[in-house]
Amino acid sequence: MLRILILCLFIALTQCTSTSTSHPSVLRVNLYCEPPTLDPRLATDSTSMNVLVMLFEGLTRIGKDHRPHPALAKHIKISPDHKTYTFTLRPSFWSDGTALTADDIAYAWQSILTPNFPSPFAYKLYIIENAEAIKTGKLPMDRLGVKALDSNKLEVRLENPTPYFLELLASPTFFPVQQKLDQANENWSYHARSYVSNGPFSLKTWEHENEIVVKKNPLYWDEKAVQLQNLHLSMIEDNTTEFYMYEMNELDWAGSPLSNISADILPALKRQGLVISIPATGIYYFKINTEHFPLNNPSIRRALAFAIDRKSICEHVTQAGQVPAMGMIPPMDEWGAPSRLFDDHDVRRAKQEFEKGLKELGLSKATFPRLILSHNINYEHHKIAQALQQQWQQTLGIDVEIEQYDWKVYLSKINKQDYQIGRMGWLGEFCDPFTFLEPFKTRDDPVTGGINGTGWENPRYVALLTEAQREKNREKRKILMREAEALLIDEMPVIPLYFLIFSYMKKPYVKDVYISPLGIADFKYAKIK
Amino acid sequence: MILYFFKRLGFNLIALFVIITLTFFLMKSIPGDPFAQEKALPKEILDALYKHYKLDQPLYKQYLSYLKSVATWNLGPSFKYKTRTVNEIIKNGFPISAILGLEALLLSICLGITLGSLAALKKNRWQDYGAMIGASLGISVPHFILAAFLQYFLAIKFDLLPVARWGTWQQTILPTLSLAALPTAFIARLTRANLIEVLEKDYIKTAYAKGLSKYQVLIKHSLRNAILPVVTYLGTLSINILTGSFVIEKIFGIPGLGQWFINSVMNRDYTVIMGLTVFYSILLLSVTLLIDLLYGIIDPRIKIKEPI
Repeated sequence: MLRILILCLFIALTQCTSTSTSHPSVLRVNLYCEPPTLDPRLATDSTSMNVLVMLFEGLTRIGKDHRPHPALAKHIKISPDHKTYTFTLRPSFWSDGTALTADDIAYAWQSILTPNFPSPFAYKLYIIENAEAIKTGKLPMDRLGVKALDSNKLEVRLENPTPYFLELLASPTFFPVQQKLDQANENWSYHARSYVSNGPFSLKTWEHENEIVVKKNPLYWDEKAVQLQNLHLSMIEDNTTEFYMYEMNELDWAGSPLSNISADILPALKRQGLVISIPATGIYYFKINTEHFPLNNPSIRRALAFAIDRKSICEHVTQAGQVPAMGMIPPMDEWGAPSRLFDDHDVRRAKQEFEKGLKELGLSKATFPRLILSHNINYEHHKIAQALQQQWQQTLGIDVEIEQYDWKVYLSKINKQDYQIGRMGWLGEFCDPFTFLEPFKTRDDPVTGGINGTGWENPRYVALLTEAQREKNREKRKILMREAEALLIDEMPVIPLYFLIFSYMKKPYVKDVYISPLGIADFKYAKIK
Repeated sequence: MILYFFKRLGFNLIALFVIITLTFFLMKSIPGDPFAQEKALPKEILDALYKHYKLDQPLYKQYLSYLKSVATWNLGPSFKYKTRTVNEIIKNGFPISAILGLEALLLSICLGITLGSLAALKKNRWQDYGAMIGASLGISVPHFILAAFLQYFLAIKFDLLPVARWGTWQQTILPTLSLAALPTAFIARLTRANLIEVLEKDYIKTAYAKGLSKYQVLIKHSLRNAILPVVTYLGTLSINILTGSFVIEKIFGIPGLGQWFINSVMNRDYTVIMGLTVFYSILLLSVTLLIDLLYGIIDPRIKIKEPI
């Protein structure tokens, strides 16, 4: 706490101007923590993903416009039914000088789908024909819809027309892995000396828990576009220290997407105009256990949602420029503005719904039970929970108790549906509404074992999403998705609060780092000027 | 003496076994899954993960294979950090924490004993009050607050030292000072209290009567007696300080062992939790034994008796 006070004082006293004139010769960025893995097939966290995007190149790469562009693939042919993709690879090399072939891509995907291979994101490949059946051991590997036609032609057959497939190809789960190397040494990704990749940078040194240095890869197919010679990635798990180092010119970047600017100083820095904020494809919302009395009543759930004053939470509690969410789909380039499916802080409707719900449940205001709002231990989440507690008390006159748990305990409570109302954050896996709607598709999926944790399920919702998955017309698909979103919000097993943003500070000489709304910083085109 | 040593060693091994067993079962009983994440994973994927990390086996089998891994000192891979093994984590992290700890330990012993002796010799004079006010501050100000102050003034305001990170000698100064404050203060107070008591003993008067100089009396007769409680305290202190401090390592971005103690529990990184607990226990048990043996050397009145 005292540390924060000193920090706030520091910001108040010194106008942080960031006008250092001397340019460093290398770019220095804080990675925040040790990447748990640098094997693209195993990565699930944003730290690993961000480093992997520097080190590897997929069939596509996300550009400045946030859209996928052909990368390893020179040419992409899509069949009329949008289910077969034929990729023609451009000649390219691994960082050890050997040629990259279509087999390397097929090999990486096949290994992820091998039943015993410990890849948590294997489910992302289930869009490929028969992938799920192969992972569950029901079909042999040769039935997989991936075929290397020759050394530079790859054919992929999908289960459904998947409009976001090309975008997924730019994410680490779909990256190639050098087959020869992986078979000879399964620990190749543990050390810089045995590491082989094919991206704009290659791994120079990896001092665990301390620093990663990546250097320009001269064998990268598009090496002319890469300006940066070296990139130093430190691992400092403390936002205040990171900020100090930034101020003392020991770092060139502070904050998202790799780390965070401490929430205590963010508003002050924002007022001084030093922070850049960009919308993220993500949402902060609450899950509701729809099987818990009295939350099993949709009117009560709606009453809770309508009673929240999101604008005041964004302006006075989070204070970083978050946008109130009255729908589940965040703003996305291609999809336009988010839907407003109800009005924020609609006290009249909230009271109406509450009365209706009480009547249906045979309760009165006096007999309405105390609700429990849970969150994982974190001061920021706690402030939001307290704001909700107060708003629900004022608008609906109900008592809410706040419970906090350690992160892993919290997750298991939510997944076991052992809670009443619980906060969640969700950053999309790709820029398509599907990633925000699909997690609530089924309450308990006997096939995948996935659960939405709310106990809610609606056959109409399932039908809408299934239809959207099969639809290849973009406009029709969009209508289906919006309909599904409206249904989800009407039944309210989830209460949206606000859409996430990324806030960061960068030195003025750092140019052309592209931040995707999914939280990936691409340093391929970065310059120091 | 030798028999005593082996007897103690035997007890330590039993203690270690009890610690391993307790930690294993306590750890397994904490709720939360190492592979839990926001979006629940499909069952076949979770199964593959469990199988890979041998968590699908019955508990007693996991326990036995754990005992075996401790016996062979092959502590297994980290669940969260897939590129790291526990042996490697200890091998990389411990030397860093230990260097930092040693610096802090030396500083606090030298400074603490000097300040404590000064205070005792100049009892109720300004030197005494000054040292003891300093010591009270050192004990009551938590080290992370001190770290924040030092970092702010020395690294940012006056730009004398680097803000954080590890690698150069200058980078060790701030964390060393932050780590050393509490033990310095504690040692100073312990030394002062004991020295004052010893200085009033008859044999000190005798020593003076023999015509010994003030410093001979202080070093040979008084300090040697007064320092015993400090030695006792040093046992646990040195282990705590050598294995690293979570907060200090976090604030100064030091790749030591301290952070792993907390982070492994947060991540339910079972192998790391177990490996570090065993490593810590072994260190603690050996140092306690060492300290007990040291007593006999420092204080001739304590004789380790050979059992008959």
